[in-house]
Amino acid sequence: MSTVAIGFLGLAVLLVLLAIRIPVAFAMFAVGLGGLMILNGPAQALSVLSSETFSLASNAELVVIPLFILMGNIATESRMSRALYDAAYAWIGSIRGGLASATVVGCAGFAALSGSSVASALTMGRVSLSEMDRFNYAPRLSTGAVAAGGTLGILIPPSTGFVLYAILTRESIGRLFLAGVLPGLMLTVLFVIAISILTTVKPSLGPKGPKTTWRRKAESIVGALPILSIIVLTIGGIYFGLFSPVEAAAVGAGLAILGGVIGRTLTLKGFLTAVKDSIATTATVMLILIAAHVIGPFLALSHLPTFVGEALTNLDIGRYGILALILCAYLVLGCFLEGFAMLVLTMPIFFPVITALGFDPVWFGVVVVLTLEMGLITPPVGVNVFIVKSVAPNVPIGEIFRGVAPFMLAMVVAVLILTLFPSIALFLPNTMIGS
Amino acid sequence: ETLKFAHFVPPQHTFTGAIVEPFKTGVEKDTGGELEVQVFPGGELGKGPVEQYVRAVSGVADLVWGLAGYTSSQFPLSMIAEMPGVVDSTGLGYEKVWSVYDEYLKGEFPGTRPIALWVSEPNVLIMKSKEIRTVADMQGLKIRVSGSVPGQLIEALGAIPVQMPAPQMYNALDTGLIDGILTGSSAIRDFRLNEVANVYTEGANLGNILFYVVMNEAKYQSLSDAEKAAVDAHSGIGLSKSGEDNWNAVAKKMMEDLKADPNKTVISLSEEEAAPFNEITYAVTDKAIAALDAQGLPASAVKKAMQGGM
Amino acid sequence: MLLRKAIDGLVDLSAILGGLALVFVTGVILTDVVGRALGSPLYGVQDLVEMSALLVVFGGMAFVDRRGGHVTVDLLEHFYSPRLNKIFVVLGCLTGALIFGLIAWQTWEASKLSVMLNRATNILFLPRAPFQYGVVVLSAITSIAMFARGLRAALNNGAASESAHT
Ligand code: NA
Ligand code: NA
Repeated sequence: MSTVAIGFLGLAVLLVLLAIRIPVAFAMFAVGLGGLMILNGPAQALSVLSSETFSLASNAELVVIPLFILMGNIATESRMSRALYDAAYAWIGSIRGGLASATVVGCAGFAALSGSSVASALTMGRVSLSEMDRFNYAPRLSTGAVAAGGTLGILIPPSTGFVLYAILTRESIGRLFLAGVLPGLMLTVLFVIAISILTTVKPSLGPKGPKTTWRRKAESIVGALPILSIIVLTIGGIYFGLFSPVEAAAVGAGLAILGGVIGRTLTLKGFLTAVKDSIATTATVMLILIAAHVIGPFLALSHLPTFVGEALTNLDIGRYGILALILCAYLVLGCFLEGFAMLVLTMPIFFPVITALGFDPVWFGVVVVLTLEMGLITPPVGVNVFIVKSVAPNVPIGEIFRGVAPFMLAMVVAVLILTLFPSIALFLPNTMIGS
Repeated sequence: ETLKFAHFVPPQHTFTGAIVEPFKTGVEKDTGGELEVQVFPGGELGKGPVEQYVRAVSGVADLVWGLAGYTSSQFPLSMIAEMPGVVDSTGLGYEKVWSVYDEYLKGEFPGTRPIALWVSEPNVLIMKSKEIRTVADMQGLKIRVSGSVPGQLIEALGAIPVQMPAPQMYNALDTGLIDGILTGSSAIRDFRLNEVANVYTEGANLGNILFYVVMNEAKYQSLSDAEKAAVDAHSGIGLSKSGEDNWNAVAKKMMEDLKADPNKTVISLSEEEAAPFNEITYAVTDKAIAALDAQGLPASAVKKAMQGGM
Repeated sequence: MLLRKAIDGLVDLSAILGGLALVFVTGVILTDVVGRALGSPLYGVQDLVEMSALLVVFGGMAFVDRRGGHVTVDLLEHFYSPRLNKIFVVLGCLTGALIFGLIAWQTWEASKLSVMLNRATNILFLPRAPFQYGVVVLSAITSIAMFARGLRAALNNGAASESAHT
């Protein structure tokens, strides 16, 4: 059997394991490990288990995950999230789906703080899901909004996705960061439009709240001041060079604790619950990320991504045809692979083709990152969906995938618009840095 | 038979032309394609420089590329090549390292055999905006370093060493979280530092970076005599020289580009201007060597032998 | 019953260790940030964070399993008979137990390599092996706890208690 066939077989086995309810992380571990045993020998496969486990669990950049979860949990335990959503409800609760839109906008704001989608979806999920539940929003809408909104984390700078793309393709990080801004805002708007359409068609997804007085609106803002100031201080600290995005997570958690203690809303019991919940969520999420890194080397050794890439790029279907196929390939591969592993495996194949076809490499970076983000929410392996599931354990995964579908459509629309009007991505870098 | 050659940088990196290509084409040609070298770039078999050596010992890959400085505790004697006053700008780091390998360094490479050992161009100061002309200019600045000895250097020069993962350097420099970075100029383009750093200071002896490519020993022993001969013929001093020459060429080009760029300031310290820096950095070397000697390691002998190998 | 209590105790201990490590990481980074603003950052903070992160990540592994927190694709759950669902739950537990067992074993092997290579963190030279022993113990506890849960699920009638504790 060829290595590529073994690669395909591995993916088929993964689907079967997922279908019979083997936890996602263990299914990925099993397939990665089994595949590596066949392609690289048992001893070598097993040692990947220890090296990937150790290097991911001790990664100084991935520490943002537990820290942001802690921040979210403290904000929840000290009722700051509640105050925030009370304020949002007072201001826009009377609009159908208003809280979901507010959450998406919140995700865009959080994206300015966090370079990773996982951290965005986790923190925003922790803060917002139970709150939207409180106002009778359907889990389908709320989880979908968070899973999709989280993907803004990597589109709006800072973005680990753009840094990796830049390093892989030797493009400018600064240009890519700028290029992500307008598409990120555009996608935010598209998400809000999607929410309005959804709740117009089916109002029960995000029911209208009562009209509130200006007095109530003002009061609610005062109540939300502690958390609003934490957000402003953390984002400000990054841009004024006081701390790095990773450290911002710790600062945010620290400020949330401080705020809770000063405002006497955080009890010792609440603090301990927050820590305990953070540990549990961290374990869930990190295990999935580690498993994704065990499957990565297996697929690399199987040469499956190379095979798919070369098969696609050798077709004679015109430049937009090839672009469409490449993006489809990312969508399909994204069903199985973690986004960054996918970039590493495929960029050497696709990038020369894309530049030879005359597409702008910075523009392509934006489109690829956007497509990778779609891969994060497509079944069966949608990392962001799993992340949301980990903070909303009672919502069936099918419900989340269903909830994500309309946002997925919004992302497809975003890619189409970007392809028709590349200047949406290129305007800022070209005017601010020059072409 | 195939050799899996894994590394952690994109295929367009200097490493490909300097090391991967000459080794791959040489070995495959000599064995008539019997021994194939399969390259896994970009961390396909496992990310980052830190775990590369372990991957070679455990056979995840047959050959790997690594930086000694990321796991310096494993290479106390080899790392002497990184210290100011040892290799500096001679461009002969590979010769110096190989000249002491058999006698002193072999023990630091258990389970593998070295394929190439070379040293980068001298470190430079890559600054966001602060012009460094004298030691006094460095007082209180926050400089990113990657290891213990560079940390001591920065501290001795009066600045504050800051530790952070390499991918964060760009943002940190951009936002002013750090004032500068101490590393070789060949790394500037790898991490796009030229976009956010406007001032560069070269000419002081601020150390170098040591690279290794190693091969799993058991894998080597499993090869036929002809295959072993092919590997031997295309590794060692010759391949190491290719590594070092290419690194120095890239670094030189980078500095020339920066000098030609009207928006960048490149400060090339004269010998007299560099002397106060060197006085301090050589003292750090002496202190580090003395500390190793005190641990019972033959550090003085290694340093002397490396310096003598000019 | 006694055995179950013992296992539960170990799982709680792991989680407490992880929680302490998380508080420690937060504190260390905050100290560094404040110190740096005042001109004296905490040197070697990355070393401390990286090694503590291992305990944060692995401390919660057994705990999250007891909570039933590992993410599964529950799309087809309703199409299976209760008996089949039970078998799948048991299978999931056993797979997890096996994988954590392998992680424990392999990390033990890797710790020997760390000793052989004299591996330590890069600035503070914290030896790597002791942290690997930590991962070995925490993974072994997870493996045992998952195995026990699988066993209980197999022996109990009805659906396995996925979220018995919270
Ligand atoms: Na972001
Ligand atoms: Na997916």
